[in-house]
Amino acid sequence: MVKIELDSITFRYSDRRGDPLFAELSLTIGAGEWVGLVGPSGAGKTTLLKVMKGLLRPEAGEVRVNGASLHALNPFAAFVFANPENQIVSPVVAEDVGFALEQAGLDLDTIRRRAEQALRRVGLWERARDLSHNLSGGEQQRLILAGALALRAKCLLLDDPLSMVDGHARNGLLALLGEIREEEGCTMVQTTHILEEVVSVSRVVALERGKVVFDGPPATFFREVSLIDGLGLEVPPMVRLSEEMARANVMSGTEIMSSRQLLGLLGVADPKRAD
Amino acid sequence: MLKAMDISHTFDTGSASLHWALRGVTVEVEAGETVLVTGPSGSGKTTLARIVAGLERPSQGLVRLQGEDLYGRERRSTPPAAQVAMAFQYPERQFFADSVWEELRWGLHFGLGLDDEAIRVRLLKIAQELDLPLEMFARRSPRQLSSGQQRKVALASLLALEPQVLILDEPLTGLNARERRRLVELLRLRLRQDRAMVVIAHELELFLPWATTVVVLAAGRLVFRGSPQELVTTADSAVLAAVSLPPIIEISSSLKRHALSEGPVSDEVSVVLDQVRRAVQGRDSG
Repeated sequence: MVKIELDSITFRYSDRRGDPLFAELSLTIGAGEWVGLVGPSGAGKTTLLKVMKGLLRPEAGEVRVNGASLHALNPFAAFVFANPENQIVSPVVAEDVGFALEQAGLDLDTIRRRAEQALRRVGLWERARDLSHNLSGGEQQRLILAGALALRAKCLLLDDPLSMVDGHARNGLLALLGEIREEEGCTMVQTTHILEEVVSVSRVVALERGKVVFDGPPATFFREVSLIDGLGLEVPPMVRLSEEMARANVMSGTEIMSSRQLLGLLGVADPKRAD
Repeated sequence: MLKAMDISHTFDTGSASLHWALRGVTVEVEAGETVLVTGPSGSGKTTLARIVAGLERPSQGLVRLQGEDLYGRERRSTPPAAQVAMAFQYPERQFFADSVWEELRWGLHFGLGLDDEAIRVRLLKIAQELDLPLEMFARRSPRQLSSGQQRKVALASLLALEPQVLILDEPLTGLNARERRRLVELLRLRLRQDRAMVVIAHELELFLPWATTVVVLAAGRLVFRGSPQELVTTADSAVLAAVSLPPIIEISSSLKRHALSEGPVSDEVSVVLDQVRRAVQGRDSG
């Protein structure tokens, strides 16, 4: 279990003068939480993720992981960068998933087993022998996610990990993240531009110019319509429909999370998609 | 205007089993039209875009631009930028210049051979059309702009070339809701009678209301070609499996297909709420 504490973090990029991006920012991510980090471009989402991982060092304040001060080489978390091309290291899909495991000194059998399992979970196993650069953007993102899962880290720091993945596949991968959190008590922090991706998280943290402007459960967040609008974001239409249904007493007592779920309840769901 | 006929393509993987990225795909876009290409990741969307943009010679098939073979022996393999321009995913990652002006100037100078005055005229025009504050940005590094503005600069550098066919690969990726709506509005306003657009997108919400034609790919094959209206009312399970309809439309479409709703397929929450209510009543009383 991983708990991350940001204690009075002050951070500024050395090439930018003036006010720091974060000024004495404190935030605690509890063990097993799934945090959706949202906010406009430039709000500091990616920077905050990198500070948590120790990739960027704050000029003041402290990052603690399970109470101990963070040092840069601490492998407590697997990190998924926003651009998958920057993170792919091997020409062949399966080898890319195995790379970090090999670096960690695991034996070949374990590496093969874990790589296969991770690729199956993200739906890429049939591409295992293909060249990584022949994968589409969405598939490359799944590949990087598979690499992170294969590490079995107790914490996942995910920077807009599903931006190139299409709608239904995205729902599948979000469900997968939910499962991993359930099964392994994994702590997850995920940035996104799309609020559909925070419907299932346990906590939403909204940043604006380096300050936390919202911190609470998604259901509460989605009621903050003017705040959401001010951040340049939009309440997902599905959430609006769900709220309207509750208000109109249609299928009351059921929390509707997705179109598939609603159609399933009405008995008209289409067969499951291939991906 | 642009026609790709019976395109099949494989990347030479060097392995025994050939993976066909595209198999027998035919698409066509006429002047004044916007063709929306969609399908799951890995279905061949980007490969098709690269082929019709003249960037990747297809293993089989023919691409014709204004009747001329795009990969014909008699012409250069890359069409002049004035004819076809393609914006890759995250086009701003290809920024190379130290200033926005230099970034925008490059293609006009080296691609089209325009002189400084002609370049200035074009850039001021495109900046005005895109609502891009060029006098403020001109000397700044493009990388210092917000993601929405970076995307705009990247697209402006292509639009300034005034291509006859503009191909956009996932132009909204990484942008937030407000940036998305603005960009789509700008693209929509740009569409003219003598120009065509091909948009690759997996999220259809903002494109369906105005696309002329939708093409759906699945595992490299074309499984659907028709109007947005035909797409949202299709009962073809192969198409439904390959396309991510916006959730509200998906609900409305599914209720109609299962005869639980009589109304038109809608993307409006209030209309679909009513359709769901009737469906529940129908189910409970039936």
